[in-house]
Amino acid sequence: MRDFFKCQECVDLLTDYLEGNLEADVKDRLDEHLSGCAPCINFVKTFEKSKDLTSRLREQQVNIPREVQERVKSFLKEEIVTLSSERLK
Amino acid sequence: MVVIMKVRELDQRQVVEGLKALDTGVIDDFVDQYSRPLFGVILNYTKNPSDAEEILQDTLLKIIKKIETFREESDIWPWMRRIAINNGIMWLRKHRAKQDRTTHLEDLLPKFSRDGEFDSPIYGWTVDPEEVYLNSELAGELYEAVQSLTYEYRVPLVLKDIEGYSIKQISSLLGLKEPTTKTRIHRARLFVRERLAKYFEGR
Repeated sequence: MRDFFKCQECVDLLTDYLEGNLEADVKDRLDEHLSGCAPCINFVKTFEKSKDLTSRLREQQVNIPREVQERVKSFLKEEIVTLSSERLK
Repeated sequence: MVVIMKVRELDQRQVVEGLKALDTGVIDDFVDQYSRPLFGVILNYTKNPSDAEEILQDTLLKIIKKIETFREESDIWPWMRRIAINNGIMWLRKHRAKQDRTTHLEDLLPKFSRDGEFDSPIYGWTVDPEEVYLNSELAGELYEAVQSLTYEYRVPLVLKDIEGYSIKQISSLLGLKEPTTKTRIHRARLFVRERLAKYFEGR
């Protein structure tokens, strides 16, 4: 059996760990390290939290300037004229 | 600034029928309703507002042209969102060379001592679960953190954690090998965590 994992190795493996992609023996060693390392426990929790918070950005959106919307509308109007005349052909 | 999504006025049927008929009145309302959320999706792929505007125009035009292929029993928003994402990625693949290269990722990755332990203390966070929903400081901080990543890291992270794509899908969309995609997502997550840690510790 190799040495216990260091914090740095745990951090490197976190994405695979949380997504269940680690081999059983690697996961066991990581769990073993985590069971006794307070900084790593905080790190894992905050890493997961950060990932959850990031996924919430899906529900949010930015403002769009009024003039952008207006330019988009006139662009589409021109395109619609072309599309309509193509349909009539 | 990040704000909550507004309620749409046109229902799906009106949108689909209006776009099919090339009804300019409906198309104006459609732009009012959907250009804002679509612009938000697109800004994840380019941070330049005039490029984003170009991609938005192209996305809306594609939606109108492709509306005949939309299956009406499904929800139209994910379908439009996908068109915006694909357009954003196509744009990136074309313009990759002139993209931003400003983040020094290493500066914000966790630091370790020579024996592999954390260099500085790691604190827990207290997050009010509702806090990030609103137009809050935290939501703004988070948005800025993601936006400050260079596209190589930002796009895989956005596709994974915001859009919910698989590693395999992301790799094929971006033309990357799967281990590369995974590494970039991992490092991007570490970066965002570190930025948020600074925010939580500072308040």
